[in-house]
Amino acid sequence: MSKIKPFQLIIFAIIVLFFLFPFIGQTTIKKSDDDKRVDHITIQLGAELSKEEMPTVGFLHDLHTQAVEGKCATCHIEKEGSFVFEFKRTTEKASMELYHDECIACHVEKKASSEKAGPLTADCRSCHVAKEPIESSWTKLNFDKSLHFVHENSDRIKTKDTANKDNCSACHHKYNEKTKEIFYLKGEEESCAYCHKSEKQDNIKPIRQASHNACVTCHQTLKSEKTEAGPVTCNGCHDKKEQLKIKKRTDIPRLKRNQPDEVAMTGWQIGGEGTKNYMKGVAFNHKGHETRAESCKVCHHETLKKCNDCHKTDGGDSKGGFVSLEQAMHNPGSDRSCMGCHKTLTKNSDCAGCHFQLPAKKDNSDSCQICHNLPQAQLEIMDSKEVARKALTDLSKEYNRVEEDKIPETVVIDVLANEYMPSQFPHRKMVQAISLRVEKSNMAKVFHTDQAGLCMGCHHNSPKTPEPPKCASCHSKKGPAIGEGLDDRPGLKGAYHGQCITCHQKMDVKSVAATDCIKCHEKKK
Amino acid sequence: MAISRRKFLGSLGAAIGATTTGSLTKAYGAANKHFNGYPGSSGVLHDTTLCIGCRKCEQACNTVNDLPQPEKPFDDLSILDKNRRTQADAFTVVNQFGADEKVFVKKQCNHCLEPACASACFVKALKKTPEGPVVYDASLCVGCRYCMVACPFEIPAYEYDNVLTPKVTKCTLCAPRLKEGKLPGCVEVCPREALIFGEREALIKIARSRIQKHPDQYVDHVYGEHEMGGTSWLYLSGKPFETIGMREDLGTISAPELTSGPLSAVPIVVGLWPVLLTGVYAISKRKDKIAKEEKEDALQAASVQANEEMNQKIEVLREKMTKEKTAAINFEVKKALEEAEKGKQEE
Amino acid sequence: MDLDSQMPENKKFTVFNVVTGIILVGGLVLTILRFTMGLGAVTNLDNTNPWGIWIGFDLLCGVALAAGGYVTSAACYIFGLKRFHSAVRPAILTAFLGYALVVLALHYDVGRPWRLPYPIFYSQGTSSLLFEVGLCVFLYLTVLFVEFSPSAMEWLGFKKLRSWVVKLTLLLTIFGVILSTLHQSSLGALFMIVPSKLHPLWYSSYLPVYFFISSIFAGMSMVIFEGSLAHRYLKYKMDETHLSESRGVAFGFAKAASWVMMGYFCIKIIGLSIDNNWHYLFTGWGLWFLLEIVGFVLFPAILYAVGSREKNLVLVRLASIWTVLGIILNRLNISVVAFNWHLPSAQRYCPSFMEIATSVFIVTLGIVIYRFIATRMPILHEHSDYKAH
Repeated sequence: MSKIKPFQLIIFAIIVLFFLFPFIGQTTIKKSDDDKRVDHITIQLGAELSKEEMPTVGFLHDLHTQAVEGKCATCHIEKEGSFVFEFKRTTEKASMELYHDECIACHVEKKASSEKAGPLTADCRSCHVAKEPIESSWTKLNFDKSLHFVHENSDRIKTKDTANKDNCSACHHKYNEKTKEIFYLKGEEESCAYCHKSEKQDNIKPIRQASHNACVTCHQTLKSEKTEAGPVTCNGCHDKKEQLKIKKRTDIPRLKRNQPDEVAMTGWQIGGEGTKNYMKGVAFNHKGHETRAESCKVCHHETLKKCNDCHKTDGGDSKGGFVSLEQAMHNPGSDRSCMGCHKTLTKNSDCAGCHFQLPAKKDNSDSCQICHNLPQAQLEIMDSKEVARKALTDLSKEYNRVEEDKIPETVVIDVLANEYMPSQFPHRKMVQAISLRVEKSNMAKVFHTDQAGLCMGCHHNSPKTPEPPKCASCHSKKGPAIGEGLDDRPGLKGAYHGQCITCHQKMDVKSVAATDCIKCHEKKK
Repeated sequence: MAISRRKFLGSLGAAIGATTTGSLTKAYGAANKHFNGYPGSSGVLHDTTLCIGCRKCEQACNTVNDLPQPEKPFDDLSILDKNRRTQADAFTVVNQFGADEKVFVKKQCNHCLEPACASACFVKALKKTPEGPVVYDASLCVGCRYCMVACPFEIPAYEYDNVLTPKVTKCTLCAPRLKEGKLPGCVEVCPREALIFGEREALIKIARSRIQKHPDQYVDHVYGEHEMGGTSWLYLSGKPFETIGMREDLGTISAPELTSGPLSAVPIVVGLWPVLLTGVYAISKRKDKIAKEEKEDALQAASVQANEEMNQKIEVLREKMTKEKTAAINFEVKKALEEAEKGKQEE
Repeated sequence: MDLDSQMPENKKFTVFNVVTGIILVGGLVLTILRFTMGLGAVTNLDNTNPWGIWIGFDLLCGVALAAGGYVTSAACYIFGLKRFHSAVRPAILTAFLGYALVVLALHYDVGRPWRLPYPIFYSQGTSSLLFEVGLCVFLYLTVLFVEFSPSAMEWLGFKKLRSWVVKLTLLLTIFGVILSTLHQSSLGALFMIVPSKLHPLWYSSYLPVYFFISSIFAGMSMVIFEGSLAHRYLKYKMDETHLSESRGVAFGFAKAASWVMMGYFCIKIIGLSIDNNWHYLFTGWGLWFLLEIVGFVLFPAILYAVGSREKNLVLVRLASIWTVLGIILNRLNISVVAFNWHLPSAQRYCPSFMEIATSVFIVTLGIVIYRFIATRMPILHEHSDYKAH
């Protein structure tokens, strides 16, 4: 081996270290929210079309919309008055050649006229980016009642339907299986999402395609006629900030869809066999609930039919997703069941003071009767809607406040007074404040018709009586007892502070901070 | 390049020793043992959803342990704006997390079931008592601060400014008060009962029941049940523990388990090394001896051979000399006879 | 040959004397400060960083670099490589002084130094690896003292005692190797209790092995490095044997160190792959780690190999300095740099000027005492009365 001079070794060392340096560049940089884009579309043809799969292409739609100055026809073919929102094709499958030829041709043209252009033929990796793709901040647009009303009320929307003067037929349609055509039928308008799902099913366009075809095309047409219209860019509808800019309409008139005002809901066939021992029916205030729901879909999540058309009592119907009627109505964890929605509403700051502290699953046979109050006998004689209407009217008259003189004005809590003076608790003021908040909600008034029940919000785990027992009856002054067979019951100090402070926190009573001890009891000198 | 036998054996021994030392993480036979704590030992359950950050616990701890009054009084809640750690004069601190919905967490020694500090202490100044608390004996402490290095929760503090009697300080779970049947200072004073004291097993059951009763309000995890082999101080939270300053990446292996491997290698080294090293020495000595003997043998063989060659040479010379002598004698005899013949003829 | 006649003029105020004198006086001042005002006043240690460079450098580096004692005596007496014999005494002296100074440094760092005998004699915390370190260092210091004592005894003229002690050499050497294996590896094992605080590239269940193996070539490099210093400044004290053997020592140790370092590099890579920590290499920390093992282990290993092959003393000496720096880097990385790596920089530790000055003071003390002993006792030469040894 020939003699290696020292300096040669040093050079070797430098070269080795030099090649290690690229590793620094691999540190991940946290992406800020500003880097996220709404219009990011992934183009990936899949393995069957190309053996050597290049990384997916991230196509930025709004960028290109801007580049072609809003002329959709540059990339999209017009068919039957609306654009087909596929790239330069109607029904053919996409191919690598299509994208390469068409995209690059345009880029070449742009570059030739000295404009800013996209990647050219040799710039494969400029489109097929291997690094982390741009994060999408695409947000689903909630087409709620407000937006619907805007369209319903708009005089800019033109329909082909001459029979009806309203705009419904501009968007709503049904599909005739036999003639394979879409048509409009008044009184049977439904949500787009009932047929158009997120993925293509049979011959039904996915919701993305359907909504873009319907919405964007119309907006684009109006815009080309110089009429003010909705957004045509991805950003306009799917950017969170832009969505917040949409003005929320108030006082929206009720949708005209021949819906009932009151419904008698039963799990059994009225007049049917063997229905004697089923639960009583429920008087459902459909009109009241309509005003409160964001859209029909909140409850009628798949179809505008009745709940028990798909959800059977035995739970065996695949149409109902094998969810039984009982579960569909009562599942407390669901966002569309009666109880689930009511539970969510108890998180409201007007309700949470008491409801936060109640255990999640509490069986109370009394509360069933609040809803299940339609006697079977009546339903079999009279019209079910009438029965329901009567029951609901009666219910709304039942609510009455407790008489003021029955509520103690001030309660002196001195059982734990040690470092602090006894607390002068303004009892009547509290009850009245809570009552005021309950009365803000008609639903709350129904559930709290029995005012003694309201007392149990604080006077819990004891019989319903106008003179409930003292807290110290069950909560020990010594502190919590911990051990075998005992429940998680706080001591008296924890009970008082827990009850009061939690309620204040959950009901957003900002005037009483939890750490403001002397607000409730003065310090002893 | 040939390696000598000596070197080879030496390095082989070193290699075996090195692998033995390094690859053992569990040296005991029944490697699935896990210490679940002394039966009946106590703990504290801290429900952070109840804590309101009033700092009465800090004040009570200060009073009970006769600690000096801090700069800012305990009812000054502005101190919560910055997260703090335990200090030499603050065995416990309350920290605040979150922007809109504030969460308060009390931080102190967790009184682990298998404490890292007790394992690390080389004078047994820190001990885990069967009642639950991990106690510190200042009369033994040398001040090496390895316990502070070892604690994964970064709890022990040191009196760096104390010249002659510096102590390691941390929460004692009020062990003296417990012996009198009293509650720890912080537990007693907490107005919300965000701290409850009892048997650890019972507290775990209570914690689980709270999660079950209010699943929306709690993260489904009792912190301290298994972390670092289990701690006596247990926590419940409504927000992920990582967001309230509690590390979730500590694992469930206790500190003593982490060091049991290297410790167990010590007696192996003590047992094996003398044999290996003496063996290497003996082999090298033997090799030297054999080399010496071989050298001597070679020398001897060489000298014997030299002798033989000498003898041979002498033989050859002798023969030559004898021949020459005989030839010379013959020549002289012949000459003498010829002289005699000549003389006879002259007469 | 009279060595003394070759001694330079006995000047009192040489540059060396003046500089070391200032440092020693400064050290004395620091000692007073430390023991009257406490740790807090002198160091930047806090509750989150309880160990600083007094542990990281004085203890960890000190012990690693004093490993030359057991390596050299093992090579000479156990492996029978007699050609390293002249290097034994200087190595033992370095080791003895090194360990003694480590214990001295510990007196500064520990809160109650008068209690240092507690873990050994009073209350043994046998679950602790620090106990293991303490016990073995204590025993090893004793062994080193006994191994060193013949030199002192020769100087003082205790002939009979000296001949008796010399008979213990082999036993002491074996005991020394055992103790060194234990405490070198236990120093690494100290950090096995903190996987949550040490960066994954440096934390490994092989830490004890890494520390032990690196101590081998650390010691060898120190022997070469100190040999080169001694050659430059104390040549007049060296005898014929020493002078003739010194090159052989350097090259022999260089070759051995090269082998061990290559093996160490391999087991570091093995440790990486067993923990599947490759992705960490692509971070800033990864670069620092690569610098440590490639730049300061692999690179000097190559230098050693080439130097010993080409019999290039300059290269070998350069490699020895490089390796020593690498060991210091490794120990400091584990104890100070990569420790608490996850904390924000406001909570990280940086040594105070006084801490650094104290460490400098202790190293200087070692150099001064070494020079004192080497110029008076038979370290670099054999005592005339005992030539038959």
